[in-house]
Amino acid sequence: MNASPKKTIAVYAANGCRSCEHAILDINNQVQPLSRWADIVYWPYMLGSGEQELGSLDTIDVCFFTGAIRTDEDRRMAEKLREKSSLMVACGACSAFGGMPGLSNLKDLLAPPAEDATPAETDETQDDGPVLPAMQSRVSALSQIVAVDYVIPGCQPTQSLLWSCMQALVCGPKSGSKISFTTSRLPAEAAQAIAAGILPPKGFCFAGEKAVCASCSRVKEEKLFEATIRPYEKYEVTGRCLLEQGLVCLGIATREGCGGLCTGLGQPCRGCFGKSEAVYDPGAKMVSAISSTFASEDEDEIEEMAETLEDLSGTFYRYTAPSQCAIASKE
Amino acid sequence: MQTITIEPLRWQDDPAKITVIPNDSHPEVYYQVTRPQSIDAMCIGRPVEELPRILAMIGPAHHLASTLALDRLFDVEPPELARNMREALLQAQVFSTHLRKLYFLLTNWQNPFGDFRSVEGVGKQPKKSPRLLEDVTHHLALSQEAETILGGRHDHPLTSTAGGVSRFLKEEHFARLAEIAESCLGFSVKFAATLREQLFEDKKILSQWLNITIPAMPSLSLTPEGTVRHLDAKGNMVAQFPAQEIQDKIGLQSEDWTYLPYAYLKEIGWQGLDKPEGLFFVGPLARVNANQESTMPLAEEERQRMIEALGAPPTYTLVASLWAMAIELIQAAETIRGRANQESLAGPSIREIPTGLASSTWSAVEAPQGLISHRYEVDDKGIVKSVDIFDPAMGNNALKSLLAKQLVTEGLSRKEDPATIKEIVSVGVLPF
Repeated sequence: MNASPKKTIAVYAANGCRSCEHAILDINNQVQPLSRWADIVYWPYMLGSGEQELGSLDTIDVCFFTGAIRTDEDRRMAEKLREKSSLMVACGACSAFGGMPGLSNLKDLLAPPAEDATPAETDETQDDGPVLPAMQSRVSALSQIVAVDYVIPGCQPTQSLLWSCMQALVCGPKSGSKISFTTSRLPAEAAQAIAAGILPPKGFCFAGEKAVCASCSRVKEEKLFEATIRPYEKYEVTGRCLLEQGLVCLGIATREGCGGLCTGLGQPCRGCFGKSEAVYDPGAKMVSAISSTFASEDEDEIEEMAETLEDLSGTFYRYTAPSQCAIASKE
Repeated sequence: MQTITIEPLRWQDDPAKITVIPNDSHPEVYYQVTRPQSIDAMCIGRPVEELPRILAMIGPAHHLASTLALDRLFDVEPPELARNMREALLQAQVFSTHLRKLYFLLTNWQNPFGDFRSVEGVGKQPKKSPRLLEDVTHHLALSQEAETILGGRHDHPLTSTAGGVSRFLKEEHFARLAEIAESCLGFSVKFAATLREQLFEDKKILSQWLNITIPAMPSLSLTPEGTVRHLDAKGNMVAQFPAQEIQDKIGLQSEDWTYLPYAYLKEIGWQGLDKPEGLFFVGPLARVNANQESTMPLAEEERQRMIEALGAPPTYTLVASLWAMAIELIQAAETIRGRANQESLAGPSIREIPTGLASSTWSAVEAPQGLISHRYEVDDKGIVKSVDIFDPAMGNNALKSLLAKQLVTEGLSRKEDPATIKEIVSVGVLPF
C-alpha cells in the first residue's frame, strides 16, 4: 500500500500550552495511527526526546512547531529545527501569529516597561548552576524567526484541518482515507491539488481564504446597530449576526476554516485563525466594520459610541499582536 | 563531577528539566519549569467577561473557575441547567485529564507511535493488551466529545459565561451525553479493576516504578461545603478556612532558576524546600487522602478497595496517587451520568443577565489536577485591574521538586544513567 519510505516527523512546543500537541496525539488515536505514514523521531512532550537525539538526526521531513517564541531557548530550537527540517509547519495560533502570549507585546507597547523592569535574567555563562532560558524582549511568531513553509491556524487547530495538513505533507496521494471531508473548508484548488498528491504552494495556510462570516450560521440582515453590547449583556444567542446586534465579533476580519464555531455557540469570534486573505490589518478592518455598521452619522453620537468600546487592541489582536498588528509587529 | 542536566521530562503540562549539581554524597537537585507564563499581560486591561476564554489557555478548568468569579462579580445566579452543564463539563474534564495521564503511564516504556524508538534503560516489559489501549483512547475520545458538547471545545472551552452558559443543548445532545456517560462508566469500572489486578496489587508490570514513595506532606482540598481543608501529613485537620481566603493564606515564592513559583502557607512562612513545614500539595491524592466518603456508590466501592489494600488514608505512594485517579474516573462518569438527561440540562433560560458590577471577586474550584483559585479586581467599567491566580501547578511545585530530588538521589546512588533517571522521574511526577 505504502511502498515509499516513511516520512520522519518532529513535534516541538515553545511558549503556549499543550493543546496543539494533544490535537496531534488525537489524530494518532482517533483518526489514523501516524506510524502508518511516518516515524516520529523527535517529540519532547510525548517521547522525552532530548537534544542529543535531535543532533543525531541528519534530516527531518516535516516539523510541526507549536507555541510562540518567548525565550532564547524557543528561538534556538526554532533555528535548529528549521535547519534540519525539509518542511516547517507553524501549528496553532501561538506559532502562526504569536497567540495569546503575544498580548505581552501590546502591554509593552501601551505602557512601556519601567527602566528597572528587565526580563528574567539567568547567567548563561554559569557553568555549574541551574540555568533558565532568558526571556526575549518581545514575543514573536515562528515566521518572524525562521522561514515557515505552511501554517495551521486555530487555538487549538481543528482536527479536520490538522489532518488535511498531515495528509498533504505526510501521507501524500497514497493515503487510504479520502480527503474530501478534511478539505471541505479549504479553497477548492488547494483541495484538488492535495488530493492529487501535489504539495500546496509554500506559505499556504490550511484553512479557508474568506472571512468567518462566509461560513457563520448566523443571519446577516445588513442592519445597523445603535449601541454596543458586551458579551455579558443581553443579546440574541441564536439567529442574528452578533456584530449587527452590537457585539464586537471579529468574524469579518478573520480567516474562515472553523465553520463559525464560536459564533455558533453564541460567543463572538476572537480571531484565532488570524486575518483573512484580503485583510491587511485585522484591527483596521474591525474599525472599518464597526464604523460602517453603526447606525448614526452624528459626530457626537459616534464619539459616544466609540467611548463604549473597551480594550480594542486586546480584542482585535487577541491572537495576532506580534505578527499582524501593523504597529506592534514592527521591530 | 560536572553538572548533570536531565531533560526534557515527558508528559509535563509545564515543560521541565532537572539540573543536578553533584556535591559529594549530597547532590543539589533543581526541578526547573522552563516556560514563562505572562498571565498578567494576558488579562490586565481586558474586559473582565473575556477572562473565562483567555484563562482557558492555562487549563480547561480555569474557564469554569473564571466563570464562577464572574457570577459573583455581577451578582447573578445561574439557572439550574447552566449549573448542571458546568458541573458535567468539570467532571468530563476530570475524566479526560486523568485518563490521558493513565494512557501516558500505560505507554511509558515504548514509543506509542510504533516500535521506532525504544526507551533506554527501562528493560523489557510485557506488552499490554492492545485492546486495553484501544479502550483507553476510545474513551478519551468520548470524554472529549462530552467536553465539546458541554463546553464548545474540549481543550479551550468557551460556553460558560457570566450568569450561565451561552447556548441551549439539543435533544440529540442529551441522548449522546447519556450514551457517552454509560460507556465511560462501564469502562472506568473495568479499567480500575484491570489497574488494580495487574498494576496496583500484583505489580506484575511496572513494578520498578510502582514502589515509588511520595514525600509525606500536608494537603489542601475543598470540602463539599466549599471551605478549604488543611490537613497535616498524618491526615489530621490543621485548619479549615473559607475558600475566598485562599490567596490570603497562600504565598508564592519565586526563585530565579524556575519560572513557576512555589506555593506555601503564609502563616508558617517560606523556609525553603529543605524545611517542608509550610509546604503542601493538592490534587487527586490530596482529595482521596482527606478520607471523605464519595457520594457516588461505585466510586466509593473502589475507594474502599483501595483502603483495604493500602490501609487507611493518608498514603504516600505512586500506587496510591494513581489509584486516586482511577477512583475519580469512576466518580466523574457517575456524576456525568446523573446529569446527562433532559431534565437536568434543559430549561427555559440559559443565563441570568447581570445588572450590577462589584469591584472585586473570587472563586475556587477542585479542578482535575487540584485546587484552583481566582481573584480579580476591576474598575467601574469592568476592566481588569489585577488578577491573582492560584493553580495546581504552583500547589504541587514543591511536591514535584522534593519527589524529583528523592528519585534523582536514589538513582544516582544506584549508579543509574541519566536516561533511566529521566524515565523514573517522568513517571513519578506524572500524577501531579
